[in-house]
Amino acid sequence: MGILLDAVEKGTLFNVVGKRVPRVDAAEKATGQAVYVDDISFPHMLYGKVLRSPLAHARIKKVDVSRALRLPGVKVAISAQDLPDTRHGPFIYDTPVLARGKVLYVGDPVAAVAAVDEDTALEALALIDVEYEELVPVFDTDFAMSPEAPLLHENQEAYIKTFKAIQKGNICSRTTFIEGDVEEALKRSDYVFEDSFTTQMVQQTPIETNGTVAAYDISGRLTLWTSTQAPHLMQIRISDGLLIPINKIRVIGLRTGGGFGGKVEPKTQIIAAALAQRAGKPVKLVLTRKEEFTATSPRHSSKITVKSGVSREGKILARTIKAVYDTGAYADDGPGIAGFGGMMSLGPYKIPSYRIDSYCVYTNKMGCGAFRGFGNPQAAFATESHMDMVAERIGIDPVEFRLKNVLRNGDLSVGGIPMPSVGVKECLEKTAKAAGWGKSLGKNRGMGVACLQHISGVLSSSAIVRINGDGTATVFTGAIDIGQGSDTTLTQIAAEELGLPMEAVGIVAADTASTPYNWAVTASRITRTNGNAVRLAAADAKRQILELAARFLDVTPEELQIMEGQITVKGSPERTLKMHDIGGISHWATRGPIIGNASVMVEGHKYDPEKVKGFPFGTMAGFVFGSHIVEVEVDESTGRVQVVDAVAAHDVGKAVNPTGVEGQIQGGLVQGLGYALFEEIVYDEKGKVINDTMLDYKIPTALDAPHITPLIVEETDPGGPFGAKGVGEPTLVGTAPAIANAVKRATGIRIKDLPLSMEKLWREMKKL
Amino acid sequence: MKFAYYKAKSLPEAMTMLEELGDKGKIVAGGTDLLIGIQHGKYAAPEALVDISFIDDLNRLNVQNGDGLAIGATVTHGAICRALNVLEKYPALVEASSQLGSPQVRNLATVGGNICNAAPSAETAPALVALKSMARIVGPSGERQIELKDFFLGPSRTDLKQSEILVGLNINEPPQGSGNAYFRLSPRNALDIAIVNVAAYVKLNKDYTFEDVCICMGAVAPTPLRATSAEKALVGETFSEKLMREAGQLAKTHAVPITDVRASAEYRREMVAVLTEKALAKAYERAKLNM
Repeated sequence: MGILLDAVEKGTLFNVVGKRVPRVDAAEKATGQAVYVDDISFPHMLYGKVLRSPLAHARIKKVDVSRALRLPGVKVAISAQDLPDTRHGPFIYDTPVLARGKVLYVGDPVAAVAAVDEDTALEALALIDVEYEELVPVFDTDFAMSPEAPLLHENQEAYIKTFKAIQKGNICSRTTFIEGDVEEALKRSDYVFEDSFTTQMVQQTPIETNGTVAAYDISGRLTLWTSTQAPHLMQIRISDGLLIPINKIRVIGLRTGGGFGGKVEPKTQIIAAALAQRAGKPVKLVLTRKEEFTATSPRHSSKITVKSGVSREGKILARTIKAVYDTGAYADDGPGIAGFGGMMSLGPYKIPSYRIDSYCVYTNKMGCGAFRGFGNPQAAFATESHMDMVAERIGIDPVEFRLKNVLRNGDLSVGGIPMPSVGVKECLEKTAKAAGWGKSLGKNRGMGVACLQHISGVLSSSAIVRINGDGTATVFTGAIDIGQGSDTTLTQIAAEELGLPMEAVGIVAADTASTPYNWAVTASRITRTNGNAVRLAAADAKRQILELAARFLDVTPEELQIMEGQITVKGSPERTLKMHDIGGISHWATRGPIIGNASVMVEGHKYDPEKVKGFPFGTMAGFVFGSHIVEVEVDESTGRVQVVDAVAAHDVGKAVNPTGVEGQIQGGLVQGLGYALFEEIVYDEKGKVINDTMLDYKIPTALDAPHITPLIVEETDPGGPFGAKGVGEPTLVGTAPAIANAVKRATGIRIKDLPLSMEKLWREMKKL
Repeated sequence: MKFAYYKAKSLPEAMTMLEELGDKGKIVAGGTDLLIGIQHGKYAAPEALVDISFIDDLNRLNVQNGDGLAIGATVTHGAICRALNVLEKYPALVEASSQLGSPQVRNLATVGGNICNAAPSAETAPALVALKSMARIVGPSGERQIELKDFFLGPSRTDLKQSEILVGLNINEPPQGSGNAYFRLSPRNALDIAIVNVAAYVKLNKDYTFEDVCICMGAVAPTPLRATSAEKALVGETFSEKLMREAGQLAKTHAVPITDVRASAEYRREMVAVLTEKALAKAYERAKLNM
């Protein structure tokens, strides 16, 4: 028993963490009890609709909503002139609530109405008169960056920025990372190879579209029931957009039917709030699937050129990157995405000198934003395809080439950030072994590998843990469970720290009126960053529990422990108090109720301003690693690729809920398969999306998913709760390059432009 | 939007309703295309819908040895898939129905709906044409039958006159020594639309030469299209891979596909040759097993 207890103290043996527990939200979702935004309804509720620009680039000469307002049943009709003159955004405040002065893409919100039903609201949209003066549209980043291109944001110097943005013309942000003398290192290299890649725009395609119900009361309080990844961030955007103080805004995050980054920044929230403010009645605004595909924030398309200098022995000595991320009409998360994508483009390899130049460029398409990977899927497709191309040219096996260059514990990341826990080597070795790397495959079959890195610690969070009158506990967190399982993971972390069984811990997630601040459910950060806040809040509660118990057991708090809801004196198991007693005593007899709380911020590293320029983030932590190996079969007559098998290993530090980790690996891998093979938002020459349906924007089905073997690697992160890191985004990052590499090995054809569609591959095969 | 909904309990009742409504009425069965199309503005909302899916006579799938197959217009694709064992002589049809939409859609969508909808890429059209189906049509002036290949006039356009109902399809039993098969090409393995689709029917002579061939291609013309020159070229010949390739090349000369977001015309043309080759080879293999 003593040995076991020691193990618990040292964190090597856990009661709740690391167990395959059922999801706490499983029953309500399986039975349909879970409440989503479209389930919310109020008496006299109105329905909102948005009038969107039919033009990609135009000056607004006039907007007149008066005819719409005269339509019976229409209660509110607004355009920018009815709203405060504001702009908002995560890095650059360039986005108006409704288009102001100009429209910048087909789909840009120009006006909005609220009416008694949806049909009336739609009818009203047709009665809004807008006069446009068409301007030259900019659809391509090469044109956008040329001196002849018209400026999309004519006032961009005046916009508020949260970082020192390096801007020029339509370049809304440029990030540079430099280390060592890269030119000299390239000269010194035995081989230098350069390859260029492009990736396409893809949409998050959550099964639930964006939506909000907003209500505004007589005291000027705004309440939103909404589908979101970030209730607290939403408060800030609404406050910035409508000039309402944060204390008057309550955002209730409901069950969210998938986010993948598409529900971080506002889509419906501010417009619904503005309508509700004027209506005096609740307003529901839910996007149609067509609006999702044409006017949200998909993943940036990109053009990336990678150059590597390599020694004869297969060591990478130098790398340069030029990456251009097309952010569309508004910056959204673009500056962060281009910067982070640049940061990730060395891959999980030790490269002593590098120069990375990453551009975020405005064009007249919908504004791009976060989507599972945040710039890394693009970077990884380019650099991991390049890794295979280099390995082939110098005649080394792709797995061996990677193993010669992988990062180790203690190596530095781009920008010089120390990485204490680096599990990439183990991931690669495990996947190669499980996949049978090197075995002979059938005709038209090929196996491809890709490695990856990502982060899981960034920015701030806070948490509260309340000990209830019966000795159970309730966690209050601002991190919303968007389907990824954070309610379960955070409950496990709190239960483990408190010494309570899982069933004795409840969780309240994401209502800004009751749960403490969390930046957002993004960046694969909840297990590590928010998990730290929950663990520390639970530890704070536990300290108070033990202090109170010590008074009754006549010992010091250090002599006590909590296990399975029982407080005992170490070494004297007969001297005991129940958690139930502590709950009762603190609520009814002495001291008062116990509340634990904690605030965390990922901080520490300072970048060298000579080496890192225009990077919009402070420091990052919780570096995670992974490796994907897929096997494909190619139909040589059609070019059709079938992924038949996949193995994916991810270094998660400590798998808090291994079943949840495996689910993330499977889901991310399949979403990456869609990115690799089918998915693409296609624009016509006028800037209009031409595949705005689920039939023509193709995400994979269950029948397209290969057999997947998820493998968990646990390289303990000293900065994570119980050693845990994140896993949400990286699971997607490795799939596309692994598939492209497998197709190359199956067919001899290297596809450098995503998606790897069957027609594209067929065209290349025809050339052979 | 609002429209009246009438549920017909018998064919005569449906006929009366349609005649009274004239051009204001529209027939609905599974509704998987029509209702969504109305909702999304693809079709103008009619004043009234006449639901024929509750008419027993139209719901029947009759298959009798020697007599062939009679498919009621409102038989669902799900029912076709579940009748796999009795439809062993009609694999092209089962292969087509089983790839249409999703299980949920297949349980609502009807064979008649897929035909009357007349999409160039309609899943079951090539299979039913290749199997030489006859369309049974009932209208104010009684019943008439036409070959299914002549039923399609263009995208969403058919030979049906006002107040006429497609009540079913009749297929003669494929004889001994024949085989049929259906292939489609689409990026996804499920829930997808064909970039091109091809069905082939072959009947072999005792010496294994081709006696009769019927090839129908979808999504390469405004209507499902017979590859007549390829059919002719095969008759009297003996199977070889080279011959199948030549048939594919001939089939593609009939194709007049379009370029759209799903595929280019060039790719469709080339793929129709590939699928023709595959469908013929499969049909031939089945015919040999059925000698």
